[in-house]
Amino acid sequence: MATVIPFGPQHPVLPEPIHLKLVVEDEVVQQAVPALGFVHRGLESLVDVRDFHQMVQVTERVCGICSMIHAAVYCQCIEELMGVEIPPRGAMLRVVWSELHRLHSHLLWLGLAADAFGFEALFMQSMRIREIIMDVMEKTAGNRVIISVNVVGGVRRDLDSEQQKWILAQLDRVQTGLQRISSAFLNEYTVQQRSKGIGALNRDKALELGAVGPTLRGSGVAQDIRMLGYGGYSELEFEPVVEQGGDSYSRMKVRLREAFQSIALVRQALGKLPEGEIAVKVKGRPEGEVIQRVEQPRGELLYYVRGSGKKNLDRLRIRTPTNANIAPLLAMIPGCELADVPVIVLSIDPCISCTER
Amino acid sequence: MSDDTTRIAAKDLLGTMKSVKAQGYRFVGITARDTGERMELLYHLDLDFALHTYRVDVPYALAVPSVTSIYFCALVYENEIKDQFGLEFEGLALDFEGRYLMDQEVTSFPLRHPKTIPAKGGE
Repeated sequence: MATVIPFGPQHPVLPEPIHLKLVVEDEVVQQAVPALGFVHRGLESLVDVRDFHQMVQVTERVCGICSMIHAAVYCQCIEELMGVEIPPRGAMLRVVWSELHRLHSHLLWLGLAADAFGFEALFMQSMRIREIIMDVMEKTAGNRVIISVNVVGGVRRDLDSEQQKWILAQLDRVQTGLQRISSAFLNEYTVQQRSKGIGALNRDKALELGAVGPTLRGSGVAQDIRMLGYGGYSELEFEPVVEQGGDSYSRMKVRLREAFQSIALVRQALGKLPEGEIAVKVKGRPEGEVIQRVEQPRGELLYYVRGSGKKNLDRLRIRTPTNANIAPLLAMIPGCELADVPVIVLSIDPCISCTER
Repeated sequence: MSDDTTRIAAKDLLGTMKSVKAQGYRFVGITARDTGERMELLYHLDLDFALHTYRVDVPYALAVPSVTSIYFCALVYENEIKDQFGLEFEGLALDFEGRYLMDQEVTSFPLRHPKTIPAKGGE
């Protein structure tokens, strides 16, 4: 006989609220129906009351994990509309902070995943390493999460050579720490039992359901929007991280490898940091419409901006990666054991505040 | 943005989506905009990093054919548009009836143009 079990919105493994109605027979889930709306803030509608410069601060607050990337893509949109070319140093500094955000986001996820597996010591270690990145943010931008470095036309903070050396030294510490915990994530019996073959999504299904980010790349699709070479990425050597398994273990492996990749990208970006200005002064008001896509830690992030020469935009539309990964999640759950649902939900790295805006 | 955008009629929407799916396009999302006179829907699709957008103009009162029978993942975007603009979708695979993101107490459509906004329902 089918039973309906509510999962969330408050649950020990969920950092943010999402509700799933799980239809189960015995211990096997037959269907999952989502319910959202617990943290909807109506941020898109703030274009009516905040001007296009002030919206940089609003977009930073879409997400508490990858705030910098939201502000960067929003600025990219406005710069494209106004025909502004930002200085190469400003573009490369955006890469540095973007990759630091990806790194701390993936470390946070690895810790939360370990907690979901019931591996508390690994959770503690992941968070301990992540703290180094948070210190880097604080020391370079004055804040830990919402670092407010973006402005339309570039960035508002520079990194001098002493700061760059210090960041590289901190990255060495992060890399050493990550190497120490990697084998636990990849080879530990407990982790493998809780993630291998769990929440499987094959390549075709992932594409059909519009999956993005590590969820898509964990199913064998080499699609990473950074390959478009936006901003400073065109100057960096970069290969997308792809795994073939399509299960929760593969998605975890993608994020673990991407954490190392982010360290390498920050090193490359600092090594190639051009001299010069970090921002240009912007005059005028945005007119026209534009779409920009960037790669957030959870996947492809799309911004649509439309302006009509006024200080307030006509429309701002934010399509976040978790929004795209909800349909794939609904396909992963049916057929799984009830006890595996928390791990599967976590495997898409859901960011509900982003999704609901 | 004009060079990668195609304007299509609402009646051709399902046929176009079937055709692009057969070509291997990934569904990226839908952007809705209230022009003040009608709704404009932008369907974003990706093939090998090239983003293509189909632009559809629809009157407020028209029920737009849902593309969820072709791209199931469109359900999150269509439900969101229904919540925020009050636009109806015909054949929506999973209909949250205007309560996907919105609370029960919300009785208007927050992103509809203020001059055209009804308290609830169509024209």
